Amino acid sequence: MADDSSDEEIKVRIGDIPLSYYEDLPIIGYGIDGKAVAKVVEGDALEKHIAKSDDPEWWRTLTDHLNAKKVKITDEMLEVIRKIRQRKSFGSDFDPYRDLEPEAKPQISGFGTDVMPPKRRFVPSKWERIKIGRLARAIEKGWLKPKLEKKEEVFDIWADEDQEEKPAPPKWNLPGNAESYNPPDEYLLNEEEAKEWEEKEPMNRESEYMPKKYPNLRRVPAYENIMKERFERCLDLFLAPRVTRPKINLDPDSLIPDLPDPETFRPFPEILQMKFVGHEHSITHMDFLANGEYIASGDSSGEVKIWESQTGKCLESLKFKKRIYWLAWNPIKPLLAICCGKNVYLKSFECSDKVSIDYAEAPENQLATWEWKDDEVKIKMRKGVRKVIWHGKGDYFATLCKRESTSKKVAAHSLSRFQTQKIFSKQSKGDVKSIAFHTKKPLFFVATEKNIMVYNLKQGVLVKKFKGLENPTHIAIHPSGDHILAACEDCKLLWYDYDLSSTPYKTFLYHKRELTYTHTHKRYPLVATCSLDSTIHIFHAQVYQDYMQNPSIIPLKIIKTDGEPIQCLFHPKQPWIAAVIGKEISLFI
Amino acid sequence: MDDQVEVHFQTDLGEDWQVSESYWINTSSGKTELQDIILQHLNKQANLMLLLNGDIITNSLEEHMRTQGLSTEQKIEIWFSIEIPPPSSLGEIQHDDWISCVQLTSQGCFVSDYGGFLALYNENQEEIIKNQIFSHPIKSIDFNENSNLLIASSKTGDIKIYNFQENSLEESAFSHIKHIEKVTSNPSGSMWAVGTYSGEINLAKINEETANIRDGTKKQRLDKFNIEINQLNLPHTDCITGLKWPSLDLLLTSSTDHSIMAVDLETQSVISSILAPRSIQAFNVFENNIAAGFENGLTQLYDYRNSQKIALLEGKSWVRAISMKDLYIAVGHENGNLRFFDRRSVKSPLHTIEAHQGKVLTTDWLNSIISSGGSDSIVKYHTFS
Repeated sequence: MADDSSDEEIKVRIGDIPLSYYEDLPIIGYGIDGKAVAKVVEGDALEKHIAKSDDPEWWRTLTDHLNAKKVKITDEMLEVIRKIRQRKSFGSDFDPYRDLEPEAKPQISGFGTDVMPPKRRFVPSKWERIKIGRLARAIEKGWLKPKLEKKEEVFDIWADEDQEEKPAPPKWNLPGNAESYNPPDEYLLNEEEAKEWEEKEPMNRESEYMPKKYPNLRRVPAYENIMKERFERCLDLFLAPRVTRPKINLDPDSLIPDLPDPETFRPFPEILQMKFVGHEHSITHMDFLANGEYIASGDSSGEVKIWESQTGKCLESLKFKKRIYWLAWNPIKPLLAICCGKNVYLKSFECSDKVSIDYAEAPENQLATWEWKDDEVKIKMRKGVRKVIWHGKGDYFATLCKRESTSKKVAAHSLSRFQTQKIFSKQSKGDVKSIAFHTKKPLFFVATEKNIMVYNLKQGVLVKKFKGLENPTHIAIHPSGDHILAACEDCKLLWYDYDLSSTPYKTFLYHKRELTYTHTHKRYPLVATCSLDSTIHIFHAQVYQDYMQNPSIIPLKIIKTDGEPIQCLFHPKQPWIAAVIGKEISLFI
Repeated sequence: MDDQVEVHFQTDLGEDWQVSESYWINTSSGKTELQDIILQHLNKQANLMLLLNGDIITNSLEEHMRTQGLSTEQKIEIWFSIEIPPPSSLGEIQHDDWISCVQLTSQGCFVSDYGGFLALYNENQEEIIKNQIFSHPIKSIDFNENSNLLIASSKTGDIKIYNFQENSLEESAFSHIKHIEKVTSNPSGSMWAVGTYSGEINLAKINEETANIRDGTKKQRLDKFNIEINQLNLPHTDCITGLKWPSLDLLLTSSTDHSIMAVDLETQSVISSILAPRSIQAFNVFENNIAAGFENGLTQLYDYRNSQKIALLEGKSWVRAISMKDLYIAVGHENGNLRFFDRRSVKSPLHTIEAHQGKVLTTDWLNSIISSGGSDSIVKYHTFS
């Protein structure tokens, strides 16, 4: 029997493309000669019905789409189809049972035979129905539970390894106008620029690509650097580890604390209004008289001047032999303590009312000797005195001699008893940087390089230790007595709450260079810090009696100064601040 | 064609200067054109100051109307007065130390300095008297023309009262109070008010009964009187920076504690009080107006009768001294400038002169002469005639 498929020549050569692609087209494809082969037009349902009723042979007609023709099925073809459907061989001379015995026994269906009885003879089993009914009831009542299949455990070999998804490589920058095949003229390099571009090392070139112009896209050659750039890109991706950083979608402004307007906190010092000019050498220290009437200042040549703070007039001048390190007015009477060399002078001035300290026999002391000369008292220490501070009641004052032995560095003096004594038999190791009296309680603060020690003066014991400092230059006690401010060399202002913690309650890192001084106003809620970065920072610092309420500290103003301020002091009554800058005292209002 | 506006001119110069008619004037007209119209109408010669709603006319009328939102459809009123000419120097006197106080009187100009010197100069700046009355700075002086008594106080608190007769000063009384800042005498010159740094105000008068008696058998011969001092209980807490005694029973005080008080001396009670925004550094009184200068450069005018603000004079440098005369105010500043304002137009100063090399510490005004003293130790005289 010949193979029909080989005889059949398919007219439409459309390959494996589905015929559905041609549904909307009038053609069915292209023939071998390249000409379009028109579709066989089949009529609509009405035409089909008419043809069906008119033509008795209609059911024999089929449409061969691939050859674009109508085919009529002959009787022979029908016979073949019928035989195929009966699963019989359709050739006339082919006998499929030629190897079998001609007389086969008729097959018997039923049990014990290979032939199953037809479905129409099937009678459902009564016992099976009863059994299934039982099982169904047991499932319904929950007596019978399906057995859980034990799943085979699969061992995850990669479980311990980080399976983090690698972040996608960064996208390449999109090409700009310069990379266009037809860039605007201003992007093109002239000869000089092109020469300069070529002479430069590739890494020094401003742009990696030299813009070129082509008449059309067809003329654009293959990009010569594609391999190089692809390789470099792959190398970059390989060598540079990529990490996914979670992007926080936050408004940056919302992170800035909502501070009130500084205008609401007026008055506070803002601008330079007056300078106290007269010292010929750089001023080392100054101090306001308790009522703010006078300022005393001392310079490196040993000159002490008394100024009228209201006008800036120098009223008195006094010369000492050595550099003045520190000055402090007595808080009760106009008596000035001056640190000069190894001596502490207690002196009053005519302009500020004379205070006479009557001569008395001072008890002998190893630490210091008291001497009376004219109207001044000289307390001679064993080593150079660097600081002197008065107690709030005006009777006691403390001095700091840096070169003394550890326990004798800080000494306390009594003005009424003319006595000098070391405060404690044991003091902490390390250099003492600053000292201060508590404003209300009998406490004494000693700032060393790393800590602030608080000693009880009555009991003579260490009661508290504040940590976290780095070379404090000056410590100040807030007038409330519950807060300690430390200006440090590491540009920080540390705010300690006496009752809260031994670590800073707040740290302000606003200055760019080391702080030199900090001071709190006695009347207004103001705090100031000055630093070698030529600025004075003014803060509003309201402290509440209520322990539950935190102090509100708000930066108000940065005052820029002509030079490096080494000291800043608030006026005792007015919201003014005076700063020692070189040979002058500047008063900011 | 330019717009025109109906203008009515007003003045307080007197009947001779009244302009009754209204004029239609081009809005492009400036000060000169407006002045010419007035002077042509009055047939006079003068330099006028023209004000439109308190704003001195310097540019064209159109610009001033635009800034004030005035329309040409409405009638505008321009106020005019004789313009104060720029002050011209009359001379200066050199002292050895900072000048603390100057007072112009009919006898001459009394000057005190920080060296303790008290001097009197006549109108030709010739020295009549110059004595060192204290070894410490003189902070304040006050000469009363009715009693011919002069009070001077030093920084340390000494008070001396001098009798001025025939160009000589004779010390008649002495006392001491701590830290005196200001002194002033009452209109009759029989009592003085003394303000201290601590905020106390004392009333002082010469006590003739407790006078010192010179050694001798006859007790009638008196040398120096004592000064009887009574403290006024006022709620000032800080330095007294201003004291004025405009009438016998009224004392006006200012302090750096931000307060200004009007004190009834009969009842010794505060009749009105003004709380200023800053500490008062300079103070002066003219009629019912008080001028208070602050360290931030501003000067505030108040009416002490009702404690109301009248005007604010702008400035940047510390106000050190204020003097007032009629409608004019002179303000001395830390930077050495002396600025003159017209009370009717305080937006900008009429004139500014660099009076001193340093700070202006005191100023006084008498008739057309203004004197000032500064930290350059010079007393300067200026005139407006």
